Amino acid sequence: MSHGRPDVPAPRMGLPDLGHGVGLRREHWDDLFAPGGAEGIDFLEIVSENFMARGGRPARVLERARAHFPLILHGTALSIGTLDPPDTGYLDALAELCARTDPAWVSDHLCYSSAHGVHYLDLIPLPFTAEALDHVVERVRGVQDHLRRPFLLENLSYYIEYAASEMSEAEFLSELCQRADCGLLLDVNNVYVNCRNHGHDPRAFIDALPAERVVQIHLAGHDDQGHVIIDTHGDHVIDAVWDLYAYTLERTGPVSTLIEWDNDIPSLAVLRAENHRARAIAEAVG
Amino acid sequence: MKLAEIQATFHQALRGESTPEAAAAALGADPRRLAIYTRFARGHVASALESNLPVFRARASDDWPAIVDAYFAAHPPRHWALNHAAQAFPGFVQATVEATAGAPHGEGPARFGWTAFETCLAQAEWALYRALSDTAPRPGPQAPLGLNPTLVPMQFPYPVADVMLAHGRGEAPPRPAPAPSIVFFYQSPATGNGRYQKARPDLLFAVKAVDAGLDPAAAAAASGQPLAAVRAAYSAAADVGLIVGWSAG
Repeated sequence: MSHGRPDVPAPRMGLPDLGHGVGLRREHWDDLFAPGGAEGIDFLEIVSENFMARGGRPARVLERARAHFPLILHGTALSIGTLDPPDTGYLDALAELCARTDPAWVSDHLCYSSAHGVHYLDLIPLPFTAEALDHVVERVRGVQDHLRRPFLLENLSYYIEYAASEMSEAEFLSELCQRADCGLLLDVNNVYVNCRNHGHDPRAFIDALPAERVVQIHLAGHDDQGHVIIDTHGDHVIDAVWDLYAYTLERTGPVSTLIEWDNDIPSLAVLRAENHRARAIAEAVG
Repeated sequence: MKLAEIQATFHQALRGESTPEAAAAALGADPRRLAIYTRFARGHVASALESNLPVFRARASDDWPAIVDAYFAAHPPRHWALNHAAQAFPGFVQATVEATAGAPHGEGPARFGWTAFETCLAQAEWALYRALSDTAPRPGPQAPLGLNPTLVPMQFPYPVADVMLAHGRGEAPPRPAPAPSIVFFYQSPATGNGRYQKARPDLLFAVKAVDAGLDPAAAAAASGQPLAAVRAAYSAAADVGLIVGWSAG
């Protein structure tokens, strides 16, 4: 996926700027395809597991979405960092979904969600160690070989930091993207949440990332409980995250941006308004 | 600390095999923060149960947290799909019923007071999820007369569909007396949504006749029923989506 000189990828790794999109959620299956429903929505992100090996209405909605929008796939269960063997059943189902949807790229999270044969159904952070880096690089290459699609990993929101970590998250991500030749799905809300929860500087984190590897951005709301911020994807994007989004775009240039809202899902009109705000910021940054 | 040790330590905490405090100490992490993950892991399983077995959950009332705890401990999720975390629940209920038969009420799992009816209810609600997930191709407009390819009939020793229908009306009837019943689970050909349908005599007749490859005239001849009654049964079965490729006209 390198472009030009092998060590200096083009912006977004040469992948397109799809504009401003939202996630395809069950609550909007009807409204999205009603007159005016798609206004201002340039692309849809599909949660892969919601449509893998699923018939019935989900399959029909997916067909319709495919006919109306560019699609990208975003998973939560790849478990790229597990020490368990790669789940070929999962990868086969994901490859089949790719064949049905022809996504511009596929993404998942830098984490593990299963180990010892058990799926936790949650995203568990990895330590930022050389051993973990070697392991994830190898796994990413395996996924790329299996899917034959551009592949991105998302920076995780995490609530603990390991004493065993040997490098910063930004250093880990930079090395990972370069060695595995994958892209970065930068969740700007996760950057804010992590920096608040662990006392880091969000702008320094953004500055330390390889801007040309940022292929997509996520924006979301969170739940500030005072002593900790939980990444709920259940509220509006806050002003500080909008500011960090603008700061990021100044370094990356235009990047496909998605509003993620997974809990207490509002009307499509509310999502469109958030999407509109993201677009206005991107246009202001130029 | 090696990655394997970290994952093993985290695993023990997530599965309730060690406390968040012990795991956090080993990992050099904040135990209150680590406990967020243990709550999430259990909460996702609870969520899968609640979304796929809403009638069972409603009837469990105050016992529900203890039921989730017992299930979570006994059946670690083995599949990446969230909904599949509920897959073992019917078997869990059945095993609990068998293990607690004759046990003093109020102790351990016997406190749930489950009978074979609760096993049926869990089986029925999970069957509905399986039906709505079925990947059988959607019958086209020119499909020949036949059964809905997603149709799964199930026999129960209790009128389980009546209880599910009552729940849909906002009612909470007591545990019913045993009475054999057949319930059809399937995807609606029109919408793709999961559906269930009590097997009324006319619907059961139509399903059996179509499954045998009989057109209405042949079904009427074989059963001795008037052709008009057979056609009405086929129409009723097609209206609710049990058979496809049927046009009353």
